[in-house]
Amino acid sequence: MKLNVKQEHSQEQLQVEGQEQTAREHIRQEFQSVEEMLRADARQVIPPDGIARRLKQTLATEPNPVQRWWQRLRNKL
Amino acid sequence: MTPVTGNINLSGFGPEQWSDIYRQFARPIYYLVLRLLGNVSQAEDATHDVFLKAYRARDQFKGKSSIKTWLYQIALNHCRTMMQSWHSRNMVTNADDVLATALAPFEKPLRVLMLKELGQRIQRTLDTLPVEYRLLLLLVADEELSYDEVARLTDQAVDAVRGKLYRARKAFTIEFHKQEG
Repeated sequence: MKLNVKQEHSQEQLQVEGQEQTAREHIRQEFQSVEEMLRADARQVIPPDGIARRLKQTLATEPNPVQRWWQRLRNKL
Repeated sequence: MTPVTGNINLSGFGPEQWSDIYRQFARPIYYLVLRLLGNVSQAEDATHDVFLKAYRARDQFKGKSSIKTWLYQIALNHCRTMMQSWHSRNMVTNADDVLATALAPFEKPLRVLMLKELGQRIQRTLDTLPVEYRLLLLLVADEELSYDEVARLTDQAVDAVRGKLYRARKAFTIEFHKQEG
């Protein structure tokens, strides 16, 4: 009985250790070049949503562009 | 959202269409200014200002370059102004000092323990490099930019880009490994 419990405990321990090792392997990243590393970095950098909202507000207050004579003519035709 | 491509007349774009331009190109522009300036708040302001400047200058876009390259140019000019003394911060001699005192081999692969630390270590490393090296590495990392386009953006010959890029990669790798301890 004691032996079985011990065996089960060892197996459980091995499983946990194995999972931890796998996790460590997934976490550790290795890059062969600076560019490869920067691309990985760029993939996880996302512009904050606030920029888009702010830009939208700013653009809403921008004056309409002054049209050149040929643009006004085109719009009339 | 249909991607906006090169030979297009931007002068007719209003605020709504410009939101599409922003959605399409915000990530590379934000990434460039963030890693160049090394400050989140400044990067947010810069990204906003770059797209606003581009909007105001949209009738000047002639389609000679891609929209992305054009936006990169505006971003570089903007960052240059923000960083002020651009040329004094090049400090090529500092970069040479880094290479001269290097002890660690630079051919080793670059390792990080966790992806979440990647950005911090990259920023710390880039901050030690001259702006010129920083810029070249960031631009070349964008696979959509050719060496010709990088050369035009940085106002130098393609050969000069290649030569400096070699030194920039080396300097980056040495500084990056230094952080491993």
